Amino acid sequence: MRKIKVWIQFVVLYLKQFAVYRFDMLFRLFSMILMTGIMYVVLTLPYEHVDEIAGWKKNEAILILGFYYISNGLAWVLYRTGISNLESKINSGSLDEVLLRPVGSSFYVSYLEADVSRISDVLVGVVFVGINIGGMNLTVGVLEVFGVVLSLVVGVSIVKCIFLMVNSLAFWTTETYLDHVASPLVVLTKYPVDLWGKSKEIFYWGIPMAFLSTVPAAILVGKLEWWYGIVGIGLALMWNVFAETFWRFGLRFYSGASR
Amino acid sequence: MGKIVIELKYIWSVFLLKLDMWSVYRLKLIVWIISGILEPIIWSVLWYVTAQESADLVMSGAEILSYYLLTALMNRITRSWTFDTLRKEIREGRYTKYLLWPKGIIGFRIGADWSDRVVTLAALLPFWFIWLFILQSKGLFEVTISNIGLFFVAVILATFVRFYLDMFLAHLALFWVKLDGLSTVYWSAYRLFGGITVPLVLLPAWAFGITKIMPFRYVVSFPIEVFQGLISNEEIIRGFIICMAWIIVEYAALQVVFRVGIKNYESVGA
Repeated sequence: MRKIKVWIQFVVLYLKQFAVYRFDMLFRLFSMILMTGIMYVVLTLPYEHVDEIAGWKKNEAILILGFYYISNGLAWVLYRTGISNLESKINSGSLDEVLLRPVGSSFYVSYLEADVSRISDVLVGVVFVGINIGGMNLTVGVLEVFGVVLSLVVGVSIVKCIFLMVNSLAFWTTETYLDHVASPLVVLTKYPVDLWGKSKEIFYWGIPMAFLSTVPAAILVGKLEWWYGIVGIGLALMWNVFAETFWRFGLRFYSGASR
Repeated sequence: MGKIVIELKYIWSVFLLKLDMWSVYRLKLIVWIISGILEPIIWSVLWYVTAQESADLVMSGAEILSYYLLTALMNRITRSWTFDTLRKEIREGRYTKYLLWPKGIIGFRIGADWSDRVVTLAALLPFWFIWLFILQSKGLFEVTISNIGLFFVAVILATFVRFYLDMFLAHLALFWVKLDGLSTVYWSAYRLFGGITVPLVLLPAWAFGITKIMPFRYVVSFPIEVFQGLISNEEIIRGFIICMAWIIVEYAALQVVFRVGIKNYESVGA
């Protein structure tokens, strides 16, 4: 509860900053519309040549894109900006002040910079999903909705752990832009992970990016059972323990000196 | 003539300085190369699978793989960090140093960009030659001496098209301070219309037509098309002319934005 109150303060702070740069605010909204259009074109382009890609029809693939927008938007609203700035904090030595705060350091670093403007991504995703559910005449039960929500929570949580771990490598290296290594992993969730043939299992159970978009979409269209979401909770817990342990281990190597 | 020599010496000094910095941050180079290759792999898998299942796609699976391999390399060779670096420096008030230096910002940024390029090239060149050998042995394209010569001209022009576009856009921060939204638009347009996300020939005809007059194609896709010998000599010359026209337009726009915008610069940092 206390952490939620702290996060709400972060959001208020962000909104104040956001309102200062009005040109940027307008451009962000414009970029959102443009990006959505581009993504839609890019995603549907292959379907001008084929009916199915890796077993997914066009409507189903758009469903995946919708879930990508929802989960990616949530990730940005919650933690992406904060974690991507971790490296610069370590390099400049300004992580010191984070360590002195009365909240957990990994929590503070992750959730400090809530990019609330990306809520628009979530809305776009909801529209994509909603339109496609209607268009495909899907009958969605309570269990399916539960499974979908659970998968999204699991996916967003696991991705946070992956980004935190990758960016924590900055405790040992410097000036490496580590965030750029993890970012393509999110890009691949725009499409069904089944594209990767036999290697797809890595994205279900190894680095479970599938929970961001493919699993919720598969549950909705009946390709997977709803309980996949519950299985995902185990994975999410495991990743959270990994990430927190790694973070604490990395902190031991933090010198506080700027580089 | 003397001024040009002094400017070139200055660029060379910055180039050497940045090379020294690369030797300190060696892991950065590896991360930079890996991150540049991952995304083209994702796109290539999507289009490769499509090519396998489609009979009417204008590119075969092998051609798609070779395209994305070259794109990954070209994206690294012509890449510039000027937009990202400079817009932040303007916002944080660190741009002031360029105003105080006896040499301007252009030479500094050219030197810095070229050090990035040379280091990346040195790291990637062995892989590139291996890929080229494999692709050429499969008869995917024929590389001739004239293609290589024209390719180098296209690359040099591409670096300037990209550089002045970055410089112009970054200087808009003199007016609007924060350009995160513009950055997203820029990268999206660059990746789609430059041919990084999708080979331009696979775009709808109207979109492909638009890319021919936009600067993005000439930064990534055009040098590859020249290298692979996919376009006629007439199209190559037209491409070179369009590149030079863009460089002139971007340079002129930069001068205007700088002269007007510098009056708004507060140097405080926000």
